[in-house]
Amino acid sequence: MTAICSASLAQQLPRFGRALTAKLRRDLPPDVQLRLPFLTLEVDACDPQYRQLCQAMLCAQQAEDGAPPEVLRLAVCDQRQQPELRPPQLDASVQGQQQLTAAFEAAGMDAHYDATYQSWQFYDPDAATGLQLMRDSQAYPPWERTFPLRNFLHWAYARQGRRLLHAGSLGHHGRGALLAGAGGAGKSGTTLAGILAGLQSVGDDYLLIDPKAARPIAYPLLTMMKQDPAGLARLQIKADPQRFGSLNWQGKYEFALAGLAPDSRAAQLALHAVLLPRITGAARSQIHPASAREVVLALLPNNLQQLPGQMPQGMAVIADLARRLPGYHLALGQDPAEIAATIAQFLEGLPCD
Amino acid sequence: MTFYRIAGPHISWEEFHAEYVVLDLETGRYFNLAAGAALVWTGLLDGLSSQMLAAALALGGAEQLAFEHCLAAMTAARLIVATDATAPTGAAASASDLAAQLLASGTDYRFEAFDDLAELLTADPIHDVQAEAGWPHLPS
Repeated sequence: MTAICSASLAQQLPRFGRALTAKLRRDLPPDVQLRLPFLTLEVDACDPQYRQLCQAMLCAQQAEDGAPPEVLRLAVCDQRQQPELRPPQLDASVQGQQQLTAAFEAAGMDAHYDATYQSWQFYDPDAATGLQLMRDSQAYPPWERTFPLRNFLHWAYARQGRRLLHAGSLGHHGRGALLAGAGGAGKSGTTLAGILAGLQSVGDDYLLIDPKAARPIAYPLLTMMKQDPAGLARLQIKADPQRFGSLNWQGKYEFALAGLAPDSRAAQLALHAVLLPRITGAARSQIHPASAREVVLALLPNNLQQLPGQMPQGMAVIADLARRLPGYHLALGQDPAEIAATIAQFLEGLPCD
Repeated sequence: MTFYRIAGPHISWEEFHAEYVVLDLETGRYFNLAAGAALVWTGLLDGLSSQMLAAALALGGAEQLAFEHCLAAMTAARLIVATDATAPTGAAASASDLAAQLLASGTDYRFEAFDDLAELLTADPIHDVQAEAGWPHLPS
């Protein structure tokens, strides 16, 4: 019995990943096909629940004119149903996720191993195919239920020069702002307050940034928003179990943005600023300038930690955003309506293109 | 003369209006360099030696200590390493310009290190080895 050691890591694992992804059947129709921004996602999944998860959580768009987007074909497999697929074993000399990531990136691939759930994800960008290999059909992390196949989309978009970003968003009269900061800074609550007051959004958790446009644009990827019970109470929203279901792994409710405020979903937001929210308990909200460096420090840690691999590209995209978009500290007041009005007035005051 | 170079391709940095965010891609540690620390980084990127900078400054007392402490912190963080080099063309003028800016910043050498990302990255264990043999052993 030989497990893969660090010395053989660079050769064996990428070979295994490519061998697996090459087995994907592209001649048959996929189980799920979704049109996402700049990407058509095709998924083969044995488990019908996982197929439903993709269809429910990922924000499909209407097809646009022009050249069809790149097709990303993914297979979601588990060992119970496909025992012939047996994952690589790693010996103790393999020193961690960074070493794995570096080995795959050096071989022109992306990959991630989740030790808790013993699941692998392999992505071959040359073939635009990927495979998720799980122990059984339910053995995936709880955040996978909120954003299935997140890492694959992260890798595919990064290779396009675009970037998944962990941020909130609000827009008003054609001007959009990102909401950036660590967990608990108030991104989701502020996004929700804005939506309820009539502002638009492309999401409060993950969105897609296209920095290649003349002005950076944010696109929606997810259908659901999240908020904890206290946050809903502040917004005077009753957490009706029929509407909101039960609490997720973070102790938050997940609910469809379209169901809460049907006109709030924006197909895209042209970005004019980055807001850095902070809960202050003050009577009124205040906005004052932040430096580009402060914007980077607000975006960098969460975004590089939660999205494995492609770190240099991530730093470059974040730095580019910080240089092109003015940053502002947003000291949050206590009244959600006042917060939304402050942001709306701020966005209206930004110069138009 | 003690010259320095960036420790390797795993050190990535971005400049924002004469301030820097530096990221160690191997460890995940990232650093905020502002005021005097940013100017020292600029000087090192320009190929200036520490002595050239210090001489141009005619540092003394607290300023000298702050300058040396900043260099030591960057070295200890493995962002820079000492190297054999020669002074680049125009070094004297460059050192003089930077020195003037360094003097204005006084003893304010803002060099902050952040470990939150590094802790999350390095805490990911992958040493679990399953009892059942996996690839490259195929089932019989």
